[in-house]
Amino acid sequence: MTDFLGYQDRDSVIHRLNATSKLLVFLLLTVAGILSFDIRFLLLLTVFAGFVLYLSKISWRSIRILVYLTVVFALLNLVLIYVFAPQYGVELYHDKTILLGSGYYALTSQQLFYELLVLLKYCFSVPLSLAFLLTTQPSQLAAGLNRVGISYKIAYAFSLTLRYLPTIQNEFQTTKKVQEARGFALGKKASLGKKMMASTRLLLSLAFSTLEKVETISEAMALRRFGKKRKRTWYYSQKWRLPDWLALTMGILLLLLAVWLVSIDGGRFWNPFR
Amino acid sequence: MTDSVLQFKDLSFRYHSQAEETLKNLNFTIQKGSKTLVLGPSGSGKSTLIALINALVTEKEGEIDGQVFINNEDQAGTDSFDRSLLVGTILQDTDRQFVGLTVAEDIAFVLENEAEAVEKLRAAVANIADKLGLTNLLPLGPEALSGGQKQRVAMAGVLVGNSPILVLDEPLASLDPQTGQAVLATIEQLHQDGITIIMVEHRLDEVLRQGVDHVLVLKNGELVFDGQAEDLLKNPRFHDWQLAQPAYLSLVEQSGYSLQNLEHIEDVQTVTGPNLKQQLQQAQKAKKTAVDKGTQDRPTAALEAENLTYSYGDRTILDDVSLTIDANQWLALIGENGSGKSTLARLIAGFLPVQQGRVFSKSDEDKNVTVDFAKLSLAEQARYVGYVSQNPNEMLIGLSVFEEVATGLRLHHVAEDVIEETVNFALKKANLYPYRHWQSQSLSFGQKRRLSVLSVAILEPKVLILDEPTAGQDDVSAKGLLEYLRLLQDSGIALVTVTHDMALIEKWADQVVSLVAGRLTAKMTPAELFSQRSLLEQTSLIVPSDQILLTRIEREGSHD
Repeated sequence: MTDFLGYQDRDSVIHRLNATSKLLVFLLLTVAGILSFDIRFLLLLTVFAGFVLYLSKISWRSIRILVYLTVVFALLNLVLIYVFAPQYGVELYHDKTILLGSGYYALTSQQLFYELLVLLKYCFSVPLSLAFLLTTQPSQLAAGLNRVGISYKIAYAFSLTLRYLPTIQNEFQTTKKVQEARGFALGKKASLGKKMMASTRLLLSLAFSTLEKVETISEAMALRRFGKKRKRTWYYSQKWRLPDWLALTMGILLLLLAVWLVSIDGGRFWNPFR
Repeated sequence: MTDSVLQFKDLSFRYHSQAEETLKNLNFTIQKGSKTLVLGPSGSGKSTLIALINALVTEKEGEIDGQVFINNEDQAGTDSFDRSLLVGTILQDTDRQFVGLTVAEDIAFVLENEAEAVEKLRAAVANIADKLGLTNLLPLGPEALSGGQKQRVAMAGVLVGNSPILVLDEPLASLDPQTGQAVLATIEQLHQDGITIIMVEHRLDEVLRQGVDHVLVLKNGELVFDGQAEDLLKNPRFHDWQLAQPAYLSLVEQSGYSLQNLEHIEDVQTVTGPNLKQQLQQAQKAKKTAVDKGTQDRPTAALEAENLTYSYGDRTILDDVSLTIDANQWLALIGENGSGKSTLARLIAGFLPVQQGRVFSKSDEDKNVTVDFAKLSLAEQARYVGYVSQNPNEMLIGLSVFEEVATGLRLHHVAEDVIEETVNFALKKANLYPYRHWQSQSLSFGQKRRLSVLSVAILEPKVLILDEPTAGQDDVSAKGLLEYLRLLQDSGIALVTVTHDMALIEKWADQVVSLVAGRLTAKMTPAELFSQRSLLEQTSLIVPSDQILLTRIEREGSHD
């Protein structure tokens, strides 16, 4: 099984869920999380996402780098929000409690509170995406995409890309070495400009051979009747079981909760400063 | 009674983009349940013939004159979807034919596209996997499979669709001889089950070991032979058709014995003829005395590898391997798939980092100084060792033929007028001079292979390492490449070929080393190798057919 996008073949409650139900719950919760700026709801969602990730038995090692990257990105995002809109929180909550400094860049508890909300959005979306992507076999995902109404040709193209990435990577590595041996400046000692020139050549030739590959692959698929009918079935399609219904119900309930909170808060923001 | 399953009637075909017809007035009939072998050099129209059978090529691509009948029905106007119900096709490149993420999914592909119910298609997959011995492989991805396994998966993926005709385009192309025999045995099993087999393949010697019912030979788009293997092998025009003669028949012919006198000519196990034994033994005696005359000096080392150990994860691929590559020698490196022979080749060439041990050579300037390759960049190392991958797409970068060769020299700061002269000289030797202005991508496969060798050899390394140089080429093209390699060897370059091409090992190499389970055997001559059955077994080779014949003749009493 290919490692890319890191599908991890384990046995867990989350792995056993149908890819379609997983996809739907993922979409429902994402919508709910984007919609709501109610800290109570976002905390609930974060705890929920963390629990799902825990259930999916994914090792910390395998996601470590990705998580570090997201943390750096999230912090950068928070700093930039402060740089460009230091009084946005004040605007939102119609209140101003200065904690530090004065003037335009005065730090207010309203701004801190707003940035905490943004941070929470990262905190629920990253574990949730990881739990979804790493527990869903690409073929099952393709079947799931097809089930929710996406054309099977597009869904299959997606899983085929995953199938061919390792092959193309290997080919690129050899090509690179061959050209280095011929004297093309690609190694550590080369200057940046030379590297760029040589790399462009390589990418071009890789594109050529990939296109040639695509032609054979599409022939091979046509010979086995891909695209003949409007529908197709999937070897890896899964039955809907009780846990799928439960998951879907949970997703719908959480979205409804988010909508209900919007209606009683009189907007997407819940204001604790009132 | 004729029970025809496929018939071509006055069929000609011309691609819209070409002036000349690719296929010219073909007439032949294939019987239901038969096994047909299609032979012919590259460019003879074999691929187009297949594409017309499975309708990958239709009126859209070119002008079709005449008719194709399948099950006595005219197929005019049908497309590849309709045709795939009747004809299952296995492409030459089983890697690209593998479209599923796992074996199970790939086998199921055709049924998925027929929107067959999931329970039914899973049962069908389990059934065919059982029949072809693939059950344990079902959850695996293509990267975990060997060439022979991929070939069997491809067959399962086609057979599951119940097409009564199976077309195979060079099924042996990327397989070692032992796996090739196993795949041929599977094909024979399907043939016994009543499936009509049409197979394009260059490796006649190996195909004959499992027998064929019917042979077609194409040359320049014309059908020049339509009959049985026996008649083909005795046909006086056999050599005109540029086909690879089975080794045992070359042996007989070279001994001066006429093939016309042979009985059961198509089967090396039973072939006989009056006075065949005497004639062969006489020829062998003459050959031996000729060989004994040539004695050699002790060779000098062009490159040495010492105590190489290499592991991938927790799997040890090479275990303390040492090897001396002698100057001016042609060394064949053999071993079964996964034995580590490609890893060893890449380590020596500097394409993989050395984990343990070292690779070194005597310095050009001072014979007493050794140069350790770990200290060199790839570009610097290229003066000592060149590496030619078996995939020309990894070697060529879409320049003109002249530029592909000149680039290496230019990057090594050779003067422009010297480059012009050197490159043109080399292109002439490799029979590529007429194409010097062409784009490298528009060359034929065999020409690309020669060009990749040239682009590396032009830097005049002491050692040239080639991964499967003859794979996927017809006899003429492979010989062209080997002859060019012989010229390089004569000019002082030592050759290392990673290969399981029996003819290359037997007829071209001076020495052989085999990798078995990560360890290297001693150097030996090809003749010594072929006399060791157990070593052949361990390296996925089979006994060459000329040796089989000689041994058999030796053993049989002179009762006839």
